[in-house]
Amino acid sequence: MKKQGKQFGKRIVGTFGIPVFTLLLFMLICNLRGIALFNTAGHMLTFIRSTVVIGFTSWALSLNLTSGRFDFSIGAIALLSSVIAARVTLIYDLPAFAMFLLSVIIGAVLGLISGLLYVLLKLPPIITSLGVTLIYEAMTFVVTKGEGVLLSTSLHLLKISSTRNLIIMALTGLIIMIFICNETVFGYEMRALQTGQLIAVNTGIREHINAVICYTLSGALMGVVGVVNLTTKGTASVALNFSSISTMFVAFLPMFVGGFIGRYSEERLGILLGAITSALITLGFVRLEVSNQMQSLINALILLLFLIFLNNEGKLKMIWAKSKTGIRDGETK
Amino acid sequence: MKWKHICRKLQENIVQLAPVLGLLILSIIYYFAMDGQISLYNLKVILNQVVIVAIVATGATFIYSMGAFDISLGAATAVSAMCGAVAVNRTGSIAVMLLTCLGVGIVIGLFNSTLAALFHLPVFVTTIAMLSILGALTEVILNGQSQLEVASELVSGFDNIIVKLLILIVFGVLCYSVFELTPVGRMNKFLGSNPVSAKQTGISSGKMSIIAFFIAGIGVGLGAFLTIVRAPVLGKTTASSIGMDVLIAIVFGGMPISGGARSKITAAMVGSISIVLLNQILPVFGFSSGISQIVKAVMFLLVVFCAGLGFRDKTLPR
Repeated sequence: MKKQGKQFGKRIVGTFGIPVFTLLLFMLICNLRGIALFNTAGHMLTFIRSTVVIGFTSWALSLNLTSGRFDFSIGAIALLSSVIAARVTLIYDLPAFAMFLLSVIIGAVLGLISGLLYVLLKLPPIITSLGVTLIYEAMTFVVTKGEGVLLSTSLHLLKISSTRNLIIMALTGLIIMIFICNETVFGYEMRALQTGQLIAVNTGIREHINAVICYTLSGALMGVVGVVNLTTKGTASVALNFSSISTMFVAFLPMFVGGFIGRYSEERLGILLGAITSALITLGFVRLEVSNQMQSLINALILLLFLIFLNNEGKLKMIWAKSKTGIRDGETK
Repeated sequence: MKWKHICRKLQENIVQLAPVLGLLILSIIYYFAMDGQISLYNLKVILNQVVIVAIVATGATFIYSMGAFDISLGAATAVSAMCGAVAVNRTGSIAVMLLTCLGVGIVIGLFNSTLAALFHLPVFVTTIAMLSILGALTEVILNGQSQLEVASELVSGFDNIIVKLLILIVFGVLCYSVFELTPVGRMNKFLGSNPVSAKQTGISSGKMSIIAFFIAGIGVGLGAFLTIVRAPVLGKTTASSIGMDVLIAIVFGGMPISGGARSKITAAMVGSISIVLLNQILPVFGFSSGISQIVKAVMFLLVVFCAGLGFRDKTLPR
């Protein structure tokens, strides 16, 4: 009973430790500077919006990256799906929900095309995704005639990224992702392919179908990111020559944090908690008026330190155990 | 049986030659697109664009051949160029500028590889973090200004095609010698083909990645130097596309992104010229930026697909 309780405690700490620590750290620093981390409703909205954008991007990236497929095209999918959805919505005067739905569906179709190209051409995913990125970026240019999309005058459409809607999106996304990855044949096969590709294929798992579903799902998730970004900024500019790639860089820290938290609970929940951590850091920096370059520098260092920890965990544990028992190198107890 | 063997050999040769054939076809199209009138100015424009990408890509081939991947090459070139610009503005000496560019490029490369070797990190992961760090450094060097200027009379002496070609040829020959005539290239390719076997035969991936990043750092430094010479006004977008251009050039030149035995040091050169020629041809046909990019992407996928024919596995590539 005591052992069970200890294990439960360990899981709780492992799951919520990182975001709670980050929250407390920034609250303390802000407190010392005489400001509140969440001072207005605007701060809460910024935090939730960042969480949704980073969380959905991280889920999308992780679907392929955990299977060894690096996909550069997710930023271009977010942009193109939201741009097409917005243009259709504006032309046919559709409601905000239709724009959201359209963006998700178009994102899924773009992801499907990307996945089909990958399995048909059988080229390394980095190569396919570079080609697809160029095509989708160029399509955004062609669709908007190089002008992008302006939504800031259509106030009813901007309501999509209200606090309430964003919370609904995050929770719905989490439930769907947990269900798909843990309770379906697709999720089972995806995990099998992640851990042993050749063995999984030899046992009859259909790798091609699984990869295409991963890309489609990833595209749908980026459709959400696209529409949230568009309704937040009120405008979307065209991106050429791989400039859409930077969209994915926010997702690395939450993805690795999610992998770590996944050991104690569920990976998709871990990724969302990683996104919450990243969003807290972003908000903290804004409240502390840290310059943009310093933010980039600190974020990169956090990512680096976390990765160093993850890749040297065994060694660190050994050093910790040795220091606890007082054994030095070359000594025996 | 004999016919089958001949057909297979023929297919292998075609696949091997696909990038060069592609370059040849592009050259012919360019010739006709220009109505057979290619002036010295046209050649200068092409060479100006080829040189920087070719130099950085040739150095980066050492990284790619061992199956590693550096996403921060563009940012490294930008930081090296900015440090070089600051150095020349303070001293007025081109030699100091060149040495600064080279030094910063090498230090960034060594930092990447040492970090990866010391903390057992995948090289790709360290370059992701470096991308952000270097991006921030660019802004720090700019110090709130939108651009950093170098007096054009200081660098104009080097802005001629002979100097640029000379740098490209010397660096290309040096890289070719190291890659083809010393064990470095062989070990790199071995690591790219089968890292486990390579390690078991005593090849140190840490040591090899340090050597690879050192050479790539020289390429970055030279690329940075030529970036300042070409356009002595540096800003946030300076060299921003180099990272991806290098990747495309290497792949376009017929080298597999996973490195290994099929890695070729000449791929960078062939690929760089192909990409630049393609960029020159598309506007002649009246394509907009968007359509040009689509055509470029389709061509890119097509060339890589043809170059990879006959190398397909049962499982999907990763």
